Amino acid sequence: MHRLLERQLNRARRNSPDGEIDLETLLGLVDAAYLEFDRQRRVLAHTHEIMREEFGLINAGLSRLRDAITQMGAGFAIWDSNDRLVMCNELLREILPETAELLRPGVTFTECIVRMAPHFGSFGADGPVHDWVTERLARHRNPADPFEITLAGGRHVRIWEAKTSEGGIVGVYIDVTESKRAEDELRRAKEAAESANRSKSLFLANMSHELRTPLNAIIGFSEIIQGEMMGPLGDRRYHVYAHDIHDAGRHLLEIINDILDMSKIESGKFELDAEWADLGELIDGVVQMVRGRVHEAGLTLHVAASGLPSVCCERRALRQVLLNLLGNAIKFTPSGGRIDVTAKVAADGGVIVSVTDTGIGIAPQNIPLALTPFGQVEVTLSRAHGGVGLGLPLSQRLVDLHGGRLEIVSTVGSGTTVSVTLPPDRVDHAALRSA
Amino acid sequence: MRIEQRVWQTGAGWRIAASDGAVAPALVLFFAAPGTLDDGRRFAELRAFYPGAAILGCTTGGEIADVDVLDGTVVATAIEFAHTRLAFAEATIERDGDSETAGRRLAAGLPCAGLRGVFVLSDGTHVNGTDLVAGIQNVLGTDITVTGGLAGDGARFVSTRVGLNANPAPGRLAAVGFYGDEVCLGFGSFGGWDTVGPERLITRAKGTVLYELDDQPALALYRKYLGPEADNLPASALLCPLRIHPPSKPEAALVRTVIGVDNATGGMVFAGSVPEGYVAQLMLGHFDNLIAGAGRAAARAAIPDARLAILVSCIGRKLLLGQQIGDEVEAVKGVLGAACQLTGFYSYGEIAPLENSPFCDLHNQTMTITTIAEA
Repeated sequence: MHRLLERQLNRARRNSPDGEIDLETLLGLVDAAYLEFDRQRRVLAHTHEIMREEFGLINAGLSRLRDAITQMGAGFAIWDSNDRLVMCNELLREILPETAELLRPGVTFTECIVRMAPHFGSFGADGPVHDWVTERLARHRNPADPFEITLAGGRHVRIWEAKTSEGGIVGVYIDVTESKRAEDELRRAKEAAESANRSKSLFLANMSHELRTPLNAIIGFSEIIQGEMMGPLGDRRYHVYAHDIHDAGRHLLEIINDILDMSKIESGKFELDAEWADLGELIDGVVQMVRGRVHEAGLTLHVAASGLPSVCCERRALRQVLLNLLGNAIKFTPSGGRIDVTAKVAADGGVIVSVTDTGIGIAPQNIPLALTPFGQVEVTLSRAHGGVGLGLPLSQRLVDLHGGRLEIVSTVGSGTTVSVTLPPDRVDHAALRSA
Repeated sequence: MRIEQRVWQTGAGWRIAASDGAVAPALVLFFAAPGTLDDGRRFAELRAFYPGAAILGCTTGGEIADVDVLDGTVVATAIEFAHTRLAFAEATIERDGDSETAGRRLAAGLPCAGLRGVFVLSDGTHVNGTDLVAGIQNVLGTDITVTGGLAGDGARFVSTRVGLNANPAPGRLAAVGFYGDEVCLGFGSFGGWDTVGPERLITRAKGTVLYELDDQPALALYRKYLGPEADNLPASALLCPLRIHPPSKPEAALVRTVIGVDNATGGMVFAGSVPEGYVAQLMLGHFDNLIAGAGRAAARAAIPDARLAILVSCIGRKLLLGQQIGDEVEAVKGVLGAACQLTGFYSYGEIAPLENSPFCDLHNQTMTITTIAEA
């Protein structure tokens, strides 16, 4: 007897007061069972229909994915948790022609690698084939960052592999031979340029030394002549000429010193000899040095720099920076103009020293050029005003070496402000507070 | 351990279905069809039968008396323990109350010393079963096994009742704790449902309410799957449980079942949490697999000399299996043996540990079995 019928008989018997089978109850149960089976059949038929629909959706999704993998611009492969190939695209076979016929679903990654090994170069350095296979397998099983392999014939393939949730590996393989070649060319060009630049700096350093030696003789002896140390010169014109020789010599020496400093900085050989210096005194000293030139140029100079702290700097370098800035202001401000020197402690605890003039100004697009060595804006200017255009770039490099920054704000025709900012860690705050 | 089982039926009244002779029970577990408790007389009768016992019970979607699956009855099982000590706790849950807090309040009523396991009965329509179990485990720790179930209301999903030493009422939680070295508790939980169709992502959900799968309305998907049965929502949604798991952690899968539909918002209300970002897949039941699933639950729950097994099976299984529902109970009996008396009920949610994890959670659509033996 069917289990269900047996249960139905028991139930009919239980529901009857006298324990006999109640036919009506039994028929009711059997009828209900038929209806249940009908319902189940309907549910199954509907389920079948739903499955057909769902499979349609899944197939559409799969076909889209397959399409994407076929059309993507890189080799693609999925390996299952047993490291067997699930699928790959045609481009992978093109990128790795040595294994094209092996790359079929079911092939193990190890089989592919062993077959391919003799065709491969290395990960960068030449090594035995065995090591290559071992390393390639290790990278495959514990994928991390993308890496490149070199193939026979100088081809390069960039490989990105990652674990899938089922414990397999998904890989993307890109032929980077062309971009690698371009990259190599760029690198070679950059190396050549750097080498040329190093040679230039070395040449300049050497030349500057060679030039300075005779210059020292010229300056020294013109000084002796000017001072008439060995007796009077006779004609006064000799005295004037000796003075001119001396001035020209000093000027040349300054230029050569700038070139020497610049080449030292560019070759990374310039080292700061920093010490604590009173900023106010330093500014006063520089201002004193240029007062005469300011007066000669028909300009007025105003200084607002009091109550300043000590700063940790190389005195010579900072003095040179301020001299350069003041020199430029004098040089590029027409007679009747005004120069302002201001210095103060900034909000962040650093110090700002600014030199403002009412001169000819620099157009915004020329500011970067003005900061490039030998880039003094317009050759005509340098001819009219003298100088080789090293002042600003050298000042900027020197400020950089102090961890500070040099900024130029300028309007053509109305003037220029050059500000030098030194960072808070170069300022003696203790002294500032006690003051 | 001695057991007496009584069954009440309209017209016939109470009968003794199984008995080890005179018992002095410490605990009476009873499971009652909705409506049978309304006049309070069944509870009064049980109190009169077993004046010294704690009486714990709830309403159901079907009662289990050994191998019989019954409707419209009250099944009461009186248990006399030789050594095991018991403690009881109860709590109420507000209509939109915080299930986690309610679980904490319930667990706080059980002393921890010597506690071996907890069997919980909860209101089945106003509770987030996941949060409830978390609340209990937050107090008792994960070493204590928590099993039990949510009360049922036939296939109506309107009002469920739970009671401890009182006629069951809505919005109640009650638990019995088993204490002492002599008590042995086993548990097993298994569904046997088959996943169908593609995995989908839960893209919009809040708490126990699911709105969208793969950015499509979940209700529309359910209607599609249910086809001609869609008119019987929410009960017919029990035919299509939802298997959910955290992304890329299929081993932590849970089965969730619909207990209500909010037609205004298109939300489907589940008995436990359906977190956004989880992967979901619809399920359908195959009779043979569901029945075999009950057998697997029994195999997991089997302990030596088990005398009593409390079966908490899902109302969804009963709706699908119809009159063949008896097969799953027979499958359990076949595994646990003739000496093990069965009781239990069809529920709105089963509580048991997750597989291979100390954490308990709410399950749906499973056969969940708690076995008891005394050394």
